[in-house]
Amino acid sequence: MIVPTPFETRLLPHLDAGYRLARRLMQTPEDGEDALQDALVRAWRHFGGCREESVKPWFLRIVRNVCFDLLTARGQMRQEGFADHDPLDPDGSLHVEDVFGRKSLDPESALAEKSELTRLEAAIQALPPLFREVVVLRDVEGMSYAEIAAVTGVPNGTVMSRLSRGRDLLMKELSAENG
Amino acid sequence: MDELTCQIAKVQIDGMIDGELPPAASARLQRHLQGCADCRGRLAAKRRLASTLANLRGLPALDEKARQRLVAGLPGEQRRAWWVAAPAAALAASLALFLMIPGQSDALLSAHLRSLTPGHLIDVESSDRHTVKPWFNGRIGLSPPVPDLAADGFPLAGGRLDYIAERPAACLVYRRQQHVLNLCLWQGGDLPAAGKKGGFNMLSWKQDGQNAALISDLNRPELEQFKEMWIAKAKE
Repeated sequence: MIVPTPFETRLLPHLDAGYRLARRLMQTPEDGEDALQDALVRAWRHFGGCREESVKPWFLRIVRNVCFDLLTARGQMRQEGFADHDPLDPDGSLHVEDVFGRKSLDPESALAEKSELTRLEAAIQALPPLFREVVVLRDVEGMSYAEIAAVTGVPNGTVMSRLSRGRDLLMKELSAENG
Repeated sequence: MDELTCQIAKVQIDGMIDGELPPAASARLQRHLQGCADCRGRLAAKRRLASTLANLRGLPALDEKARQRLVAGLPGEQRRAWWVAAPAAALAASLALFLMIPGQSDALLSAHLRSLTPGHLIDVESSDRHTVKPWFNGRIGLSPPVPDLAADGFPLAGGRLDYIAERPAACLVYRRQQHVLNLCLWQGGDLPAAGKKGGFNMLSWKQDGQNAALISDLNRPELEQFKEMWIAKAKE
């Protein structure tokens, strides 16, 4: 008789979403998979403490925390300085140029026969992690602001402003690549 | 009430597109949009971006080998979850020869005959695979592939929980004109013999580590054809 564990039936269905997030937060597919493995083991250990109705935000929060820990340890979280500034806050206005201070894509290889989706992925990769995650969670995973707030630990309003700014940056990146 | 500035409006445009802006704020934003061509342009651009991004839904897919590795990396016995098994392995397995045990085919035939008695064929009646698949998951924790073969002349009729040789099985019911096809998947035990019994054709194979058996009064070539299409689509 097969008696699947709650972990199998409730958490493992979200493994794909965890993978999609980890892949996009980390720089390489290998790092993405390593981060996901780490997150999965943590989720397994702490699953008994997950009382949330919906397991997906709970799991994705673990995934993003693992990724951000790794990125921070490697100095790849370029936006620490303005991470908590909100574009709605007059003093926290973001400067696009600062945001793109990180290594950007090689223009030679960016040229060309990249498919539409590849170009889109590259543009997402070029976003700073805090903006990248909200765009991925909303536009790729289709999560609500409340769920994204649960994953990222910021209020709904900040989710909205980060999304707005993230999409602005994404459009800028895409049009720069087209031009 | 003071008017929205463009700086605030451009952020709220995202909330509106996402259906997350409260009604009052939304009404206020609408008023701003009526008078601001710049923000209307921003709205249109964001809408285009949203539809472009929608193409990424479900991507990248986690490949099955990676999924297996991930689950195998867990402590304990998580690795036994059948639906994390690699389709590649399943394909190789389905091409291999299996030891066929006659006793199992009797159990399969009984299940098929039982299913044909009135009121026993279908527990969840739906031609929608998205209804049938989760239905199983909620009951026996199996989430079998439920490919849609209606376009190939095999509409899905529904699903049923059954027992094959005392093991719980997820049975998918397809139809071909007046014929009923039972496709059952279950974990453990032996694979039933393929062949013909009591006027019914039976086929069996390994599907993602599960036993899979197909039984129907449909003729053998058509049943074989169905099996091949089902396996091919189950991988998608």
